[in-house]
Amino acid sequence: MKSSAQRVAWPRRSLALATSLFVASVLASSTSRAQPDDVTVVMVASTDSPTAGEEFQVQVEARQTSNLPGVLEEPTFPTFRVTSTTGVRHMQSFRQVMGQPPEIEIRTVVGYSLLATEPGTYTIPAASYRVGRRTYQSAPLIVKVGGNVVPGGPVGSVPSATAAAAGTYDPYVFLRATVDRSDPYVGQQVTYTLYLYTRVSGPVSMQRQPGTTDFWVQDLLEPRRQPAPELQVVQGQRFEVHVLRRIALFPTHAGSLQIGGAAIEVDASNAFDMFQNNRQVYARESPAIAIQARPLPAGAPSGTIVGRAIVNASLDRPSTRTGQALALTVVVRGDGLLRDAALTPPPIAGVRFEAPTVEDRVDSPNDVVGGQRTFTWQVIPLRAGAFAIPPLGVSTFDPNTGRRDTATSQPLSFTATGPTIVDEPEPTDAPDAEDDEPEEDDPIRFGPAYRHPEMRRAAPPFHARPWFVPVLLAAPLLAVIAWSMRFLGIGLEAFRARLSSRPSSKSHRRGAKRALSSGESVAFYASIASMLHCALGEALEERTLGMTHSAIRSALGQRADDELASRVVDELDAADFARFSAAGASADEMKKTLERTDALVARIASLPKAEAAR
Amino acid sequence: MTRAWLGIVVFLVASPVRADSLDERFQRALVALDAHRPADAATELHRLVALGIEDPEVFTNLGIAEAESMHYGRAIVAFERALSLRPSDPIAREGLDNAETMLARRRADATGGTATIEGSRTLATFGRAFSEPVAAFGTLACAFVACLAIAGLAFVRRESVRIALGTLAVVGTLGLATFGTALAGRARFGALIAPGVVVAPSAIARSAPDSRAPTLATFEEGERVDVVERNGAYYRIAAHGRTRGWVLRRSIGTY
Repeated sequence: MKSSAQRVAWPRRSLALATSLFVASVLASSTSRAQPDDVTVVMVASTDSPTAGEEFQVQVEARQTSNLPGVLEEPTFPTFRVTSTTGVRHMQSFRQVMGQPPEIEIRTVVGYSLLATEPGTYTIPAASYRVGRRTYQSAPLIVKVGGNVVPGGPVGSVPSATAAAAGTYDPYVFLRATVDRSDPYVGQQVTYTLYLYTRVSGPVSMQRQPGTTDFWVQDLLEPRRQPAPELQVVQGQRFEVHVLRRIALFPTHAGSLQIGGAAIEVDASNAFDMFQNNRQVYARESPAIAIQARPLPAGAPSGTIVGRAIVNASLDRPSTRTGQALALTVVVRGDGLLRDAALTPPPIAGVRFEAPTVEDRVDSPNDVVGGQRTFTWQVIPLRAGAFAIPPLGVSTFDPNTGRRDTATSQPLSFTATGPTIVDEPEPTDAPDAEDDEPEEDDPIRFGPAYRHPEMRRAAPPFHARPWFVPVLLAAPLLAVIAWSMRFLGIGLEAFRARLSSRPSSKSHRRGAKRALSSGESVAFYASIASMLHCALGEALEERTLGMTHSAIRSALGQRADDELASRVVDELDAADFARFSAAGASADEMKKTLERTDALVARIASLPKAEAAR
Repeated sequence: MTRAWLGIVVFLVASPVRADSLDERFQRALVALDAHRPADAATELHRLVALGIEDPEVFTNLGIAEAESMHYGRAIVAFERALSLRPSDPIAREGLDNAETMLARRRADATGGTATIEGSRTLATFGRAFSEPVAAFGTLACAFVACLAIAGLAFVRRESVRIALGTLAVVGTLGLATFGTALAGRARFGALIAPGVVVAPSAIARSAPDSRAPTLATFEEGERVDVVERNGAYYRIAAHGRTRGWVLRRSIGTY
């Protein structure tokens, strides 16, 4: 049989053996890491002779047999437009043969879709792959682009043609604002686009919208119509380009106008940054863009539509009775700001036009604002006959040709039968005049003023009146008193008992003294008896006034010695007797009786309470 | 006896005369407002206030008159006084917002920046949630409810009653906190004299109540301050939680 020491030694040896095997395997592993990596970097293109305007793909792949991944430094494409990228992907594979260390292969792949815009021969620089301190490179790629120049602007520009643009380059995030024209006519559309160029990812919050004080604004990007981001290379850096705002602006007056800059914040923080209170927020502003708005040609009436328009008019029926309304509908369709269109039917004798209802529908197909404005009049013939509604027209101005024109509707006619309606109000321009009333620049109004105030006089506030603070303090004082009583053991019952017993015993003694001084023996002995009964009642915790003297002796005898019980009963007998005895009226005797009674009351009061006695 | 009759006659005659006089002044102010003479209206309404009238509608009209005279700082003071008397007054509340907006626009026009309105102080804003009598009596009532319930808990042993008293104590305490905070806001807690607004186009804060003392800061019309001390023609004011210096009293309107 092995000793206990030997039984303990075996596990220790096993542990040492396992540890040495583990250290040896770790050393072997580290040795294999220290060996130079087998790394290959390859860059290939889907074609080496694309034509201008054709999209082709380039892929960079790095392979290594090591479990220490490297960093792929992506190539730059200064002469091509990157339309999309797959992003860098890492793939890892293992292979292990029995008795040999595992073989690990890591593949790092990134692909690009490139668009060549101009013919020529271009060299895409080599891609680099860095593992530790060593850098491996692919061979450069030579691409021969054929065909003709493709319109669309130089590489790195924003997608749309621009008349004016503003933006300050930043290697991480910047804003760029563009307008499609910088010298529009009043009422002509200017398309403003705000681009966000970013190389960081994170939520974007708009801190300030572009300032559009001098313009009527129509949003061209609805929430569901956010275009997908596009990749752009600017100054050798690849950016994701997001369209943040695209709005149609219509200058409201001629002169130098300004589209104020917008401000955004891109929060590129991750969860660890937030924990470390180290948030990475990029705050950027776009510069303002100046617009020189040209006035419409002289003679252009108010409500001229800058753009094209057609006008259609129709009546809901060709005839009616006098006093019954027909519906005249005039629809103005076209491009531009149709809300400025105003139509007024000419006065027709015997016909009354009610105030029109106006309905606007704004469309923006292909980012060109247009739509239709529908006017509907109630036309009331006031006498029988045939009536003609002349063509109704709106003034238009074509900014491309600089020509003014008038779009008119076709003439209409209707007939009315029935009696003449008298007391007819003449058609007036009042409703249209209201409709044409120009909007105020400053809509802020104060008022209306009150007309009948109560003219209340000043009075001190309630909280400043002298009674307020004492009354307020009384409430917590009440609570403090209540809880003090609780802590001092003065419950409501004990408090009530003290109120009922103590003062009455004393008051009976005061009554006895008064009777003694006045020589009223009957009253004196009655007070003496009451004193004793009160003291007994408190000590025995029951009323003794209706008890017989023998019962009192018995009850008191259970709580005190017989001598005290006898003396109390004797004193009660003497008091009862003295009320009817002439000798009892002696002042000396009464004084001695009071002294004896005081002594007895003191002895009774010193008796233990009923609970303690039990 | 003759004197007594004379006194009654004088009282009967004098009372309507005084009422008519106040009403006439108010009507004159209304006529001036309707005739787009807001400065005259403001003068008449200021006289009414000087005569001891403290009516929310009079202050609201005064705010409108001052705002239409483009004295937005004074308008803010008048609207604040109206709201302190009647927190739910919609015209005064809208007028206050509009006056602050106009001041912000004016500042933006002067600096070329954007119009930003200074946020109201939380306590003062909460103080406007209740009128002063409601806040005062609410505070008293809730204090008594809470304290009586707490006092009752000292003696009552029955469980159901104790639960009821405990609930009352909690409700009373919450009410006391609500009304008490509102009262503290109305009682100008934090300002030893009163909260105020700069009513002059600009107000210079100096290191001492003396026109020759060095300048510490300059305040613009409509900026809110707390008046903490008065010394002759100067107020010592605090803004944004720290004392900023002495400013001429006529540059500050208190409410």
